[in-house]
Amino acid sequence: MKKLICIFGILFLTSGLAFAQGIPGDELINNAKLYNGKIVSYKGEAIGEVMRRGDYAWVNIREGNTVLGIWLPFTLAKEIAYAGSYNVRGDIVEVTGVFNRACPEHGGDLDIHAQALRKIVSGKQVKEKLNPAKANQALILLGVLFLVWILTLFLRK
Amino acid sequence: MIVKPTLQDLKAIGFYLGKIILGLALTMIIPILIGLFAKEFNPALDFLISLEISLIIGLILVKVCYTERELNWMQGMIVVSLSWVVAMFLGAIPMYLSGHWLSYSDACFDSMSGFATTGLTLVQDLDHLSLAHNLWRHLIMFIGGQGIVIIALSFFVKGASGAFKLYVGEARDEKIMPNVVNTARFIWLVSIVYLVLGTLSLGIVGVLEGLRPASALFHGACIFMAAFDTGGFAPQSQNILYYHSFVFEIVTIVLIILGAINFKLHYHIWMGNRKEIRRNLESVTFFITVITAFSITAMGLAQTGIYSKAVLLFRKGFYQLISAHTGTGFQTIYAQQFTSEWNHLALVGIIVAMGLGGAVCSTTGAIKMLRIGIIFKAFVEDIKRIMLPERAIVVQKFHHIKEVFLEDKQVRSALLITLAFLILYGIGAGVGMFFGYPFANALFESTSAAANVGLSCGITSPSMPAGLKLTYILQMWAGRLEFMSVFTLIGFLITAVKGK
Amino acid sequence: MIKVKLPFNIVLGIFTEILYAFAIMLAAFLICFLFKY
Repeated sequence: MKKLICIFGILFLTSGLAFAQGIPGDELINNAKLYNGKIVSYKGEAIGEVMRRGDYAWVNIREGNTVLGIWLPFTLAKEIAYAGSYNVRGDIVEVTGVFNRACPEHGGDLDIHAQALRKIVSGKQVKEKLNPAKANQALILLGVLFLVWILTLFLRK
Repeated sequence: MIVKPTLQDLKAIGFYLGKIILGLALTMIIPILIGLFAKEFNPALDFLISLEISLIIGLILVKVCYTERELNWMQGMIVVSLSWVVAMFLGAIPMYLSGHWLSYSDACFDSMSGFATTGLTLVQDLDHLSLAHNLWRHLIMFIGGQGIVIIALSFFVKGASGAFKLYVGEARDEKIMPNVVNTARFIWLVSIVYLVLGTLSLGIVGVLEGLRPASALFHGACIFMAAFDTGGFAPQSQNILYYHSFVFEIVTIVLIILGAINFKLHYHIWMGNRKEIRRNLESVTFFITVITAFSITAMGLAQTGIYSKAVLLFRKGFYQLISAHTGTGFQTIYAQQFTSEWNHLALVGIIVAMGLGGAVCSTTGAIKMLRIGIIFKAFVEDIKRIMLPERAIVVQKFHHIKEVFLEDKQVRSALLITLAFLILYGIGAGVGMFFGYPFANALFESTSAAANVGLSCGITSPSMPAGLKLTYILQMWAGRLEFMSVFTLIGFLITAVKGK
Repeated sequence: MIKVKLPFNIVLGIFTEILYAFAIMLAAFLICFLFKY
């Protein structure tokens, strides 16, 4: 029994050291010295596109107003089906890996070398709905423009 | 005796302003086409609405203010300064309609930042912005970098002398070719040639680095426009850091240096006088100031120890520095990192580089190399006068396409504009400090705005005080036009109120 | 003849300008090495 408690106690403490909760991007950047070289967990929306570089890939992940670059094996990157853009909501993923304040391997970039990736919410293509108010405004203005143009034709000096 | 502006003045100004507005309106067709092509219908509507508003205003002005007279100097200067204000307001309309800016004033900030090729931005969620809107952000950098007026000159303005006055008002006083309309057309030639070469290079590198071909080309075109026009917007929120690519960075460095070269120098080199690049006062001064400023920054960064290898110092230290010196504003570090990772010595190199700028008659801002070179030569001349026997005749020359005698008139002009820029940097820094920002940050951001650079250490954000937002907008405007046309407008308004 | 010379000069001109950019980068790289030792 005591052994079990000890084991659970150690597991509990070490999991705390691995910063298991997704850390906000801002927090990572502003305290880069603190997190440098540590294993961190970062969660957000994949944006742009997955950029394959041989056996590895880059994907940039947006959390709040911050976007961080994630370097990961292509086998993990393949999991990402949707990356956010105008009419795409990207996959929400959580990556766990080593945080680098100025990665020596990647030209000093602030990045995370991910060892694990977990898809939390699948992204999707968003169908654009035409904004009727805007369409009306455009039509009305077209009318005004036409009117002004006719007037200019008549008001010849 | 201060004379009140006449109706003739207002008509002339209104007429040419109207023509420029019409020209600007037509450029909005491009994002409409992109929107339709990419099935982004709401953005296409945004631009249609903006196009209609601009056409209405332009047509009314052209008709009501119709005049056959040519512009005089004062009117020309005012047309230029007002064009930029109007362009800001009109260019902001589609941005605001997109919903990606928290207010119309934020959209105006980005609009002025785009046209003035600054690059400071208040956009929200850039990574989800439509292609049409994103293209517009970069297109206005291309338009503004060429010169809004240059565009009009190429297509609309018939009178040559009026055209020249507009040209000078927009801070381009180098006559490249005898006819100013031909000068404007040559500037377009260089830009289009490099547009093709630059977009292709970036597109190819993009594909090699993992981008899809279509996006590589789109990013390539956008990055080219922001690079060659030393603007600094990028299609994604991480700016150039998004690409995580050394080769991509190198290509952008080449493009921004090309953009910082005097168009007159482009002309002479392209016409066969290649030796000129080694002898020209501006290209030589630029080389020296870049190396000097970078030495300062490198020294500072080496002290912090953050970049452990030479290549890291280059990719982070030099990239930010050349971005600063060419007035571009591309960043491969996060804004906060200037404060949290770099030290003050490193920042000094950046601020000095930002304040100096590139060549005159290029797409850059700030004091500019010809003036720095002239001031340096003036010092040399004065030292010579002291050292040589009193009766010796001291003659100082410098090389700018041809050998030119250094005259007091040139030195005076160089010193006055330099002083004006330094004062502007200082005023912006003062306003920043008034709102509570620390000195180094306030000076950094102020210089970035006034010199139309676009690097940010974090002050520029939607939550910044409105007074500071307005200050930066005014700085971007005044810096881009090099004061004269802005002062003329102020003078005009004063005479309108006080004159008889 | 002039027609052929013009684009040829332009191409060489472009090369010259790109070379200038690389010269600046090279000098900067040298400084980087200097500061790393």
